[in-house]
Amino acid sequence: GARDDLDAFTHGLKGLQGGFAQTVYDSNGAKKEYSTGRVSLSAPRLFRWEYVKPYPQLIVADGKTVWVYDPDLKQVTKRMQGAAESNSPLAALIDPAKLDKDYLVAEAGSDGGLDWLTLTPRDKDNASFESARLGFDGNGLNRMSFTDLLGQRTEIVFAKWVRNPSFGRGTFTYVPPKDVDVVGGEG
Amino acid sequence: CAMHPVKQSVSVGSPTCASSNECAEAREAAVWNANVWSLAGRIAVSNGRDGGSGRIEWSEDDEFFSVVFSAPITRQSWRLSMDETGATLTGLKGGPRTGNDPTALVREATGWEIPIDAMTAWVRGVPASEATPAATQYDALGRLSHLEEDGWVIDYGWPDAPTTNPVMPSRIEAVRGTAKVRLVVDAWTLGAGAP
Repeated sequence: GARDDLDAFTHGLKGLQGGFAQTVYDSNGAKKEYSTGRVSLSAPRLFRWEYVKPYPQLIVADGKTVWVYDPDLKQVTKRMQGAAESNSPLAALIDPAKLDKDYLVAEAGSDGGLDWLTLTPRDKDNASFESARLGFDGNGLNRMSFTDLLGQRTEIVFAKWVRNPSFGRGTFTYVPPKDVDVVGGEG
Repeated sequence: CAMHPVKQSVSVGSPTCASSNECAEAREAAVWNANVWSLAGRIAVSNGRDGGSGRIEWSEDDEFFSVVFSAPITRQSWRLSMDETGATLTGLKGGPRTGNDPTALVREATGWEIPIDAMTAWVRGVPASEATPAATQYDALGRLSHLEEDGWVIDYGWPDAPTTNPVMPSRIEAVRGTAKVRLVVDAWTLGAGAP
């Protein structure tokens, strides 16, 4: 089942890189956003989430700080890397022990050619989503979806995973450019 | 909605208004006539020290206003709904909050200073109150380029190829002391199409 797919996918997994397409549906199920980009993950806490289309946005977690850079808004938000990130199902991917610590993981059968797991955050208060679903195919994690507290559903489809890649220098570090406002974000 | 009788029909956007002032007046009348609108874009808020950024939708459906904010990745979202009875903020930990002052609701829940009532007008490129604002500057096409009101200084960017009539701003930056709200609009919808 999906749990076996997950274990196979995360077995010996130290790093991951791939492309994603993200669709956000509003609480009535109408599509409201579509964006694409690249994601890199490196155990245990480093990640880089780069939206390319329709407009650029960069999110880098360097192990201590999470940087969010919006070029069009000329603002960088930085905050301590902590609860918010560990709450993202993606972060749990490369740290399976964390998965069971932070989430109730349950098989949800197969559908649409994928085997599904549902993840329910154990710490309801700090979670920013009610539940998440991970869909697996032969190549491992194919799809992730979660619903936020407003009932908005985010669906992310991954492609071209590269396991344990050699990351370029600076993949997980970020230095704000000169002409932007750098502000602290909440934890 | 019922057609509002217009003294003389001025089609804004096409060159039938002769001067910047005339175009400005025609545009502002058209904006106040359109009570079903919505914008989707991105917002960055800061007070010089703290702040945040994310996706925003700002809309009115005939006196019922709504502001929806979603942060990237964590999708920390909140929805602010307002009508003449008051404001309700939902989606944040601790459950819904209600009150009469939407700006205070957002400030208490997030620590961010967003002048909601005034910005509901500013995002549409018009001054918020009938009383003459401290300062206004219009460009040759009668579009607001600079506004000073309620202690805020607001500067505008306008689309090269307008997609709505009247034309609506593509960029709004409001500053008051260390408080700054910067909004980039990716899509405007006017009229019945609004959600």
